[in-house]
Amino acid sequence: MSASRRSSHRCNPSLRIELTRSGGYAGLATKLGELDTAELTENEARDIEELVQSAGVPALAEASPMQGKGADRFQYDLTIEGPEGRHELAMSEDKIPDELRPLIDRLKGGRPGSDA
Amino acid sequence: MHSRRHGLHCVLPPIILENIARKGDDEQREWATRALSRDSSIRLARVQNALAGVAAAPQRADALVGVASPRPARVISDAQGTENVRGPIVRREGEPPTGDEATDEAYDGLGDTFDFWLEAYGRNSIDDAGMPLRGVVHFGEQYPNAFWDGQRMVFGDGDGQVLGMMTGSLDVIGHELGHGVTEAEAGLEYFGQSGAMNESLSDVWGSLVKQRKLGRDAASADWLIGSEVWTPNIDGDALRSLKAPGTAYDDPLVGKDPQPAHMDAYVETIRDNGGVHINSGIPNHAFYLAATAIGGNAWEMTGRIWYEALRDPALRPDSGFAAFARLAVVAAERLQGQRSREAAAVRDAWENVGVPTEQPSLQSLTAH
Repeated sequence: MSASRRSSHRCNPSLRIELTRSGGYAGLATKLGELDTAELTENEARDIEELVQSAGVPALAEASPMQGKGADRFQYDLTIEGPEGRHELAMSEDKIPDELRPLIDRLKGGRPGSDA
Repeated sequence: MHSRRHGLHCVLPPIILENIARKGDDEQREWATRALSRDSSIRLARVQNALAGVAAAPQRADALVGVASPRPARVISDAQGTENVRGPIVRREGEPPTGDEATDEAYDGLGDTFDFWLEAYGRNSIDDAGMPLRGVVHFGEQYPNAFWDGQRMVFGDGDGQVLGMMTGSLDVIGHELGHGVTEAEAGLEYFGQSGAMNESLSDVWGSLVKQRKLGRDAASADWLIGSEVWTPNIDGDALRSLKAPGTAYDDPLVGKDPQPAHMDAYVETIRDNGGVHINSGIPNHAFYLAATAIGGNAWEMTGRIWYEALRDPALRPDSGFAAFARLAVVAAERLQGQRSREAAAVRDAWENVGVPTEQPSLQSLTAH
């Protein structure tokens, strides 16, 4: 649906990304952020697409869950849905791959999600 | 306040100090023990022995000078709002309160938990070999969590919106130290069913530390975990309930307590290390059912049975609920006899949450 909307003004279909934090001592699932590249400016969308591209998402999904040491650490759950399908990445907060940090920081701290 | 107390101890006879050290509240006890420790006499050994639950006749205790009973070795460090767990040390064993709430709560809570393990089960710290208790406070920025990192117990200050200071709940501290004990024993993998069993054991120890501290038996305990950590914004009694999993909170902001109390409602998910904080409701409820059926202080018989099961070499890192349940039955039979009401209570408790405890075969315990 949004893919067709997206393609009306850009050549790439959109990416929808959601970040949730789960686990921790309290075991609460908290949505930290989400975005849809179809609703971003062209430059912003390109930045996100590049971040996803360079992170090597399929390999990271294969390596999920990336578990940490000990117990009760937070887990970050990143869902990326695009033209190539849907990937679910799960990683302990102390095992976040460096290549994913910019994307996670963008989702956490960044702008309001796509349903804003 | 401290200078007044320090002045006071000079005029108090040691016998009164001893009584305060034995019977006072935490703060009094801490102060009296410190006051006594300046007096390097046999009195200190006697008080320490008494505090450590060493059963010895008075003259025997006097003879134990120099044979120190295990004492905690607490080291609290301050992450100062960063994620550095090797920040400056702010309080070592035997040092007076710092005035920083998180530091002093962590120090006291780790002491209560150490006492619990030593006095209830004769266990000397996390590894049963006197491992220092390392606590880290003020971890991260408004970090709403506490965790065990494999070496230390780490506490955040909470976000102030949903969760408050993590050191404010004794059962949180007991829970984290419990992860260390589980890691040192069965080493239950922190994922899926073995992870949920690991989580449940920490909730059990956390709850028992609190019950023992408050002097509550199985019938009068609240069986809640983290009842002090929600901010007033959240509509909830606690984070979890062993008595009634799934009912601890229900709030528009954080949702509803997702814990099942029966295998029928076991949640398959990739989140939360495969639902370790969700499915722990099942073994949590089994412990509650066993403890209330057996009666008395839950840390005595029922806790002892769970502890024996945890220490059984047949419990493997990938063991799930059923393996633990069988070993708990075996432990109850070993301690109280095959036809004992305790063994029957443990069997019933697991059956009632949908976990079978039929006669274990060697294969079912080891094959995975």
